[in-house]
Amino acid sequence: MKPSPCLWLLPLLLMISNGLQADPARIVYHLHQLKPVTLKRALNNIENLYKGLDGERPEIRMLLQGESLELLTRERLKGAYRQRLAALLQKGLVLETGEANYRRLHDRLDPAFPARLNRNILSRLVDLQKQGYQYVTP
Amino acid sequence: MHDPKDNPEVSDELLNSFVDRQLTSEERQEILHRLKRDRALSERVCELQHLKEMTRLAYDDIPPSRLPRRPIEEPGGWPRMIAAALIFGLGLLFGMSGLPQWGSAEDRAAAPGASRDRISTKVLVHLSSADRQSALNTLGNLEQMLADYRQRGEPVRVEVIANGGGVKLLGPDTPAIAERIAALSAEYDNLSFAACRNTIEQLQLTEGLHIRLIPQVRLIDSGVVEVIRRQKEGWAYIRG
Amino acid sequence: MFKNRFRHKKLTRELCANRHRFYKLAYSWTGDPMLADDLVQEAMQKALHSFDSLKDDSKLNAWTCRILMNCHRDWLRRRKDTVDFDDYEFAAEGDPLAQVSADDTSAMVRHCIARLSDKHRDVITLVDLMEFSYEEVSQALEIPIGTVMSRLCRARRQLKQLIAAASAQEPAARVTPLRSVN
Repeated sequence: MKPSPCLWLLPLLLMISNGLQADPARIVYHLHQLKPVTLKRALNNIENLYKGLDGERPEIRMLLQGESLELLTRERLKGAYRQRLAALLQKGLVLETGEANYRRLHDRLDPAFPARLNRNILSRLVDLQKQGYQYVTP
Repeated sequence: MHDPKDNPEVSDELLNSFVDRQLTSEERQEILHRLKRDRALSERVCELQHLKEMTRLAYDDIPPSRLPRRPIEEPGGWPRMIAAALIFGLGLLFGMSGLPQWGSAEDRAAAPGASRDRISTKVLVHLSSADRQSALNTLGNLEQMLADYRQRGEPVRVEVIANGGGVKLLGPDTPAIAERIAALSAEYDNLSFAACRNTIEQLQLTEGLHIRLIPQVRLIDSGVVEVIRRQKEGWAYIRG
Repeated sequence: MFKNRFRHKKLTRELCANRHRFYKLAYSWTGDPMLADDLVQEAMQKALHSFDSLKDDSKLNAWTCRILMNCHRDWLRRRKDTVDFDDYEFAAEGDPLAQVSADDTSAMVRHCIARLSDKHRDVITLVDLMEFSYEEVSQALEIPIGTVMSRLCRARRQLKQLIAAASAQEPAARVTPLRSVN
């Protein structure tokens, strides 16, 4: 008995539909040091990611661990870097940090750049990778 | 008496909308401009943001749901079974097996505790820098993460792999780090340390260094190979 | 037939992906993990079998929240019928007086949220736990967006006061709130 051609079309249709509904590119960008080059490199990297992954609806999160959270203080975040980071937030970039770290610096942080708080930043990094986020550092 | 913190021009409703990202782009820009020069407004926004985050965080460590992710089985039927069989066949044909499987049952590592293959969360911490303070910070954060998983009742396995400059920190010559590693290893049997043999031999050749390792650290052939292999096997990766 | 099947599959996937958020929401109302699981299970079963009545797929989450709220209200009414209401306290979690301590910020905040009125607690949890837009909150609660905004303002103001008061109080002085049935 000749199999119906429809049977062969079915997996193709399912695969196409899965492709159309493909998950967006998910990236977690991890910072944990406060070297002078850190913010510049991070901004360059993330802008390039948005540019290069434009068709994939990227979801990018910047996790600021430890001293790197100082990058979001009013005294450090100024001028062109501030504007570039603001533009990235408009594109959907999410900033995250640890709760204890936030408490340490909260009165110096620029409120225009709110960060999602996490009980433990490393656990969060692990959880995000379990959700399919790819891990990138500068 | 008028509270100097209150700015009659920017209502609470507008600030809540700003914090909840419910404003248009132009409205948002207007508030951002004002925040730059109005300290009182800045404080109000900070308070709201903090309150919002405290609310969200308050439910981060509630008792977990005990139900499976999918509440019911999707309806079956012959078209789905045939489609599934055909896709499986096509997958084998075109080799779709390159994707890492989270929580893979195949764990070929000879690390201590390798019998704990059923642990679904596995974390690789990569130490490649000789910066002592950075390493101590990493160990501190690691301890907090392990405590966090223990409190959640979730099994986790963590391996710290050192190559490059990182191997210089795993000997008795850096007592602060050595003590920390010894204490952590005693407290957490799901934590292990490994150093790259290739790096150690290379340092001996190029810098004349004789690297000694503390007892808690085992030798592996190649740190970078292990880093790549583990990620392919589904380990989460953290750069220390 | 296939179009409907794909739509159902897509909606099911989206619903399951948000399951943990519905659970947190239900937990914020009940303080009881098993009850929260039961409510979410019931709501999701109802939602999965009623996709044909969902006119706009973009409103899936708000629509499901509505179902979950109704399940909770039905449970509260059934509970009232079978339990001597005066003897039953809807605790924020287990025994909040035993669990809340000066250092336990999370439990304290949950306790304060439980003390909010239903209307205030609903808007805060939909915005902060479900991460709903104001539009989605408006759909879920069937109230105008302006009402969502004003209610949220008052809710956060009240929550801030409750947290400040709770932080200053001794643990023994904190009172377990009594949840009423409308």
